[in-house]
Amino acid sequence: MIVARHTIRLAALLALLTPAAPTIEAQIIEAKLKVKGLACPFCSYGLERKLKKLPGVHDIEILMNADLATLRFDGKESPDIRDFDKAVRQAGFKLADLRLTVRAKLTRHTGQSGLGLPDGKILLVDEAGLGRELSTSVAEGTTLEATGSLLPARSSGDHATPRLQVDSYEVEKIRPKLGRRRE
Amino acid sequence: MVREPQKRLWTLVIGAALLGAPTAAAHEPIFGLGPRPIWKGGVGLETELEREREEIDGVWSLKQELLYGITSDIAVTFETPYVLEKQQGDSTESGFGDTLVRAKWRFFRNEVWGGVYHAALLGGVELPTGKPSGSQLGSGGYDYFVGLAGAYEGRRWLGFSGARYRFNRADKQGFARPDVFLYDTAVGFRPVKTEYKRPDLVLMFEVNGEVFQKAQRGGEGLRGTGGNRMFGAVGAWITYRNWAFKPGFQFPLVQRMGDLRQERDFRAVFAVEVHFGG
Repeated sequence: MIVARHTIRLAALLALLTPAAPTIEAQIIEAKLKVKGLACPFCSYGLERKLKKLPGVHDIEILMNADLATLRFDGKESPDIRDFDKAVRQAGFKLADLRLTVRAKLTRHTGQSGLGLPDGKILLVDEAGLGRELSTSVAEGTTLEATGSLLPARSSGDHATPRLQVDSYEVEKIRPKLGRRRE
Repeated sequence: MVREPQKRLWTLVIGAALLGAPTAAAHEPIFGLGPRPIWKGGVGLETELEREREEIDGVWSLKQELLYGITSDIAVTFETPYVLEKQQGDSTESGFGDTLVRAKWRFFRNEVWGGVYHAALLGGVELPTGKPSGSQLGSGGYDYFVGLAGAYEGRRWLGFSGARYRFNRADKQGFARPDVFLYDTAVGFRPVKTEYKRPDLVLMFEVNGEVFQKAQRGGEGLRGTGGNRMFGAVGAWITYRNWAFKPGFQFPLVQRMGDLRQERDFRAVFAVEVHFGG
């Protein structure tokens, strides 16, 4: 009986020390897509189908009257930035604006600030607006959560780097790396 | 007065000329075609029950339609009609009609907030799979059609227009059914701008026209064939997510059918469609 009790306590202790769900450090948390051409709910079903196929999508909300599709991600996978446009086009609509909320490490990339994305690519921080403040006041390597509109890359091709016009950001507070806190 | 044998010939001519005439698929007018395809890799299945009555004759038919999106602008459709009962005078028949394969290429699309302007080229071939004898469930020859459809589809109002020309080929006995020019215009109204995942209703009001050339035998135009008919129609799209229910009722406005009058009393359809895949 004593051995069994000790085993249960040990298991409970291990459970507390086990890291939470395997989240990736850099990730897309939320994407808000402004979509042109959303005329009827029946035809918009194709948009839901295509967006659901993006990796890591946890749930989708489509608001017809706001021309908006909101995607929330599970934190385990993230899509390539270009996949949003491709999915919308394949559904027969047009992506007019993409707002992303990303959790990423601030990096320096060819003299500019960037956010390291899960696929290893860099999302440049546009210097307009809050971007300049972020670049000058936040240290490299800091993990932060930033929200903004995606701007087209200044050059074309596969290696073109898209830019995020940041309109809000929050530096992530240091959290205990081990264990799951009991509520 | 119409002589009975000639009237029977005219019935065959019109019936065979219009067999498998394309009707609603996806978000399109109930009795016409629109420019909207389906998303890339998307599949649509439709079953349509149709009742048509012309004077003392009548047809009950069931159409099965399979739609596939090759790209977001190109779609192909296979349609197989099954005539449940075709009544002509004292005789009745049933069986498969001609299978129609058609394609749609949306060559223009301009998406705007809450709507889209688009246009598509249409084309198709009808295969002689139906029985050509008796009361003519099939045409007995390969027929073709080409067409153009354009639309504005918005959250509140929708407008469609389209035209098709149907080339009806001669059968093995040298009997050439008349070519037919078909035109449609439709207005749709959505009383409530429903959100996604809510049942959606669009009321449809249509005008559909058919202009018949003369039927020919041995290169000679047959007397009493040729003419035109125009119909009004009311219908609805009732959709919920990927399911659509489309009832429609068509009634004559004008019928000028030459010496021999074969007037259609009405045509009613009820279609159920589901989209998936991709």
